[in-house]
Amino acid sequence: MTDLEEYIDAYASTADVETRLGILAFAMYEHGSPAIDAASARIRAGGTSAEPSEPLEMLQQWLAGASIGDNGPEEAERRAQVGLESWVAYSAGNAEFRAVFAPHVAEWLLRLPVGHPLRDLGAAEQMLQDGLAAAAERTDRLSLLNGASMLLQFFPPPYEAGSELIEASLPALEDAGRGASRTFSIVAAEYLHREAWRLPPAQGPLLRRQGLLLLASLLDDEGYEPHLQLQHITLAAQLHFDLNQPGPAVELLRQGVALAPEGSESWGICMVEMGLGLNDLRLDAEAATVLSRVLIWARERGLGNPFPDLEGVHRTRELSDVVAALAESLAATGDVDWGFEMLSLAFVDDEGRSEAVSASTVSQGLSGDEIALVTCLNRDSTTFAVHPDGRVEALIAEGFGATWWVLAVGQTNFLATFVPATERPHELDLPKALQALREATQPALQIVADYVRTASVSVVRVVPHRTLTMVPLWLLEGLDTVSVALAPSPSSLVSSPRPPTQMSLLAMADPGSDLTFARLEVEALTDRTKDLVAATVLQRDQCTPAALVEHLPLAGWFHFAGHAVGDFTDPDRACLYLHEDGAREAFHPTQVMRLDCSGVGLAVLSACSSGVHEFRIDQVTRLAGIPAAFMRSGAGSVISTLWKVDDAGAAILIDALTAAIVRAIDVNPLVDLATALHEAVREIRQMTPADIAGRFETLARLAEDPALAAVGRRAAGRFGSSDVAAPFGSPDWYGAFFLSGSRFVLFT
Amino acid sequence: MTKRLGLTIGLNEVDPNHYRDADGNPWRGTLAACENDARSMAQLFSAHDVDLIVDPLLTAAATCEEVLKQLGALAAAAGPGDLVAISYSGHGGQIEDLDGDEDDGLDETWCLFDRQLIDDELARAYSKFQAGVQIVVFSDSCHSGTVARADAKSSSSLPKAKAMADLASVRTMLANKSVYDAVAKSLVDDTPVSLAATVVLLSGCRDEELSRDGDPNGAFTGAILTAWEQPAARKSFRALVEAAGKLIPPAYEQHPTYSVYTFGEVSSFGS
Repeated sequence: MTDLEEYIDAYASTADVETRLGILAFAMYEHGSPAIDAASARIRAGGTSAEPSEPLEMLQQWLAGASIGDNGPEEAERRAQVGLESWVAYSAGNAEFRAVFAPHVAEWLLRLPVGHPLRDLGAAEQMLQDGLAAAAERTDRLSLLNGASMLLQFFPPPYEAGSELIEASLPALEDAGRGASRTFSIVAAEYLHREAWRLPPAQGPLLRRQGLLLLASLLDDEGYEPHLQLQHITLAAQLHFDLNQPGPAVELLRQGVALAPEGSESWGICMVEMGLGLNDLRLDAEAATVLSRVLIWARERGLGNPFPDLEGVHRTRELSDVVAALAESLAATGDVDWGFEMLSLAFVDDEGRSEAVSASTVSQGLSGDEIALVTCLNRDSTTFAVHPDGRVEALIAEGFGATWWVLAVGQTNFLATFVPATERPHELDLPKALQALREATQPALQIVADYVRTASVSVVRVVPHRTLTMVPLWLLEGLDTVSVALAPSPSSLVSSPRPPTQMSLLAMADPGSDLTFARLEVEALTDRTKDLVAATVLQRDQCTPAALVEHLPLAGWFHFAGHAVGDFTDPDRACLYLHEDGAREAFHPTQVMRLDCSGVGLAVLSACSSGVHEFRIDQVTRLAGIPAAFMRSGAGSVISTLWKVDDAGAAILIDALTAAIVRAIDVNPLVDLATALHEAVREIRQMTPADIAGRFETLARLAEDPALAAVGRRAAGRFGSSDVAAPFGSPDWYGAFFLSGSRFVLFT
Repeated sequence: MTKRLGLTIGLNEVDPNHYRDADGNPWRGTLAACENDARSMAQLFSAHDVDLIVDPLLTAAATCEEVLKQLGALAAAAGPGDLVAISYSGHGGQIEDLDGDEDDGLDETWCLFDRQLIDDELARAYSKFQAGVQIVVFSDSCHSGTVARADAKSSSSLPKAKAMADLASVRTMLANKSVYDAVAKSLVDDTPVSLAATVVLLSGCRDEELSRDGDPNGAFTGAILTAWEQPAARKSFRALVEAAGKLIPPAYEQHPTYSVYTFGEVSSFGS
């Protein structure tokens, strides 16, 4: 970002009206209304070629008056109204004014708070359209690009219309090669960088290269203003990155680092981008040095997460981008301990806070029979394996970080082939899909699987990074023979031991009154645990939000058997379905977070997709969704599902899990949930039709309602007559449930 | 000269005095398109020289007694080389095996108006047809389906399924125990049957799936009617079923099936 003073100097010293207005528009683009204040002050002070009667005085008066400041809200609103009317009146007869300032006035309108009486999206859009028309009429290339850019930013059109708008502004860009001003060239290149994605894939790179050519034409220009030069450098570097050319990008950024005052924002931007470029180029030693320096600089400036001030290059950099690359480069150069500690900063909670933790600290939280695998996805897939004795090793599968990104970017395909959230579980040929995924990622996983086998452990604590939160790692070959428990972050592995959990069970069964086996499941659960826990059972229309709020604080073990939905793209849409006034009532993560789960050692969410985590590609790794909400509100461990589960099948798995937990309690009140779940999964995978029939017969015998019992016996008949040797042997039956949070729960 | 004979059945409701829902309350099982299905299939049959033995049996007219009577009439009228086309559109269900001949302990049923018609009863009706008769049955129904603990909204946006839920069919059976005990007794008392004719069964879905209602026709019947317009689909019933399957929306998760039963001893088969 160029200093405002430099803009005002340029403005004051330029005689050409169009260029002067263009500079002012650019200054407003970067600095907002203070640019108008500064320009106006310079005019009043004299020493400028600009005329006092210029319309900017009008704008300045309006913008200054419209801010609340000393004026108070009512006066500010009045002035804003007057200013807006003045704008409309003046611009109606002045195409130049309209062309240049429409984007800025429209932006001011659009940034008014929702509910402000002057906020009018329709008027803003019309203003932009009028401004574009005026700019085209006057062949005002800069205004044309500014207006088009604003329109596309605030009113994203359908894909085709966006392409048309860009193509309509291409003649303006072609002119840029013929001696246009530097300001215009930079704006044009920026526009190309930002909007190229709207074009069909084949055209995007062409536009980006055009932007580079525009910028390259400025390189040999004598008297090139430094603030423009830095902007040129960072923008050109962005375009190179967009074109997958990290080498030229890094070379440009070296120039930028040398040019910018050390410690300035421009310097910071160049250093971040250079460090990431060096990481791309596998110049890991230099990348580690540069990115470490960046982190120190960020800390000195008090930059949080994300780095908001680095937005100037239109790619908002987050702390996770920097630390993931740094961790990867450190691991590649052998500095594994420091790499692990940097990676721990990539995992944040819902409030954006992250906590650095060393591998040795994490190791102190591990039991003797487990290891922790903390993954890092960047250009590679790097897994940091932490042992109880403090050792940490990096398992690097070069180039396979990209594989997971591709899977995530093609999210529809990823979900369709791997997570049958929208398919009936046993319709999807999941083993084939799983096989395809394995083949695509085998090198990355083989190294980990082989490592786990040689480590001879029984439990693996996995902290998945980025897209790996979506992947059922526990199903993958090599990991499916050990118990796998997920943890949201490295620091969570060293959380303080929970107080003992009360032996009180709250079970909610079938709030929607349409899941027969959910009811059988809960009857079996209460029967198996009747000698151990005091149970409160809510069935069907008793399963209201109010009942949950009332009873949950008294529960140490919470079991939910009903409907749920997860959402990979928007965790706030995930919900458990409870009951209210004769209808289903969605209970979202935000509501779960307000529950008192401080006494809940174990929450089991026996419902479809109840454990779907949220991940967005351009954001940090942040566990959201229902399980994370339970843990935020105090629950220790959550067992939930990653995809759709069959009503009858879930009942059998839960029964096996309950039996495993009860067996464990009999031996030791400190229950290893990871092992219990793994035992249950292993059991049902191997069940023969006769075994399954017998289990359903047992559920039927426990049912108080003879009709429920009859349904249980029907299931026994259906599964018992199956031709398949192991009817639950497919991952879609046994693989949906997983554990996150604490591995152990201590029951009193 | 070979004859072509037909019978179409469609029920938009069943008798709430007999049927029960999952909570044991009277159940009508209202569907939207089954009567239309019966009429549409009647028109299709008629357009291909199939003589309907009776007007479409719709809802209250589609009792077990009437359906079995008409099947008997068809069996009496059809001879070797003749074609008998039958269509059924309505709910299906399952019931505890009444004569002990099912591996899974369950008989499939058609939910006719006054009670469920057991597949064993249908088998006996089909066994009355002479050798050389080809019986083609279009069954736009289902008997059971698995239930997922998933998004309530997405499932409720689909057309109704044509299967009695397990709990509903159990409640129905328990509420009418004497009726089904009498049917069971009649089945057990009967001598084992042998199927002489060939039965081609075109079902709306696989065993574990659900057939969906629709507008103006059920998903399967609508697909059959549309597929029939394709010359390639008319080459065989198997081709017809395959073509129809491609016309059913994937969200329905409904895959029609084609089965053939010929000769030999048979105790029952899918309805």
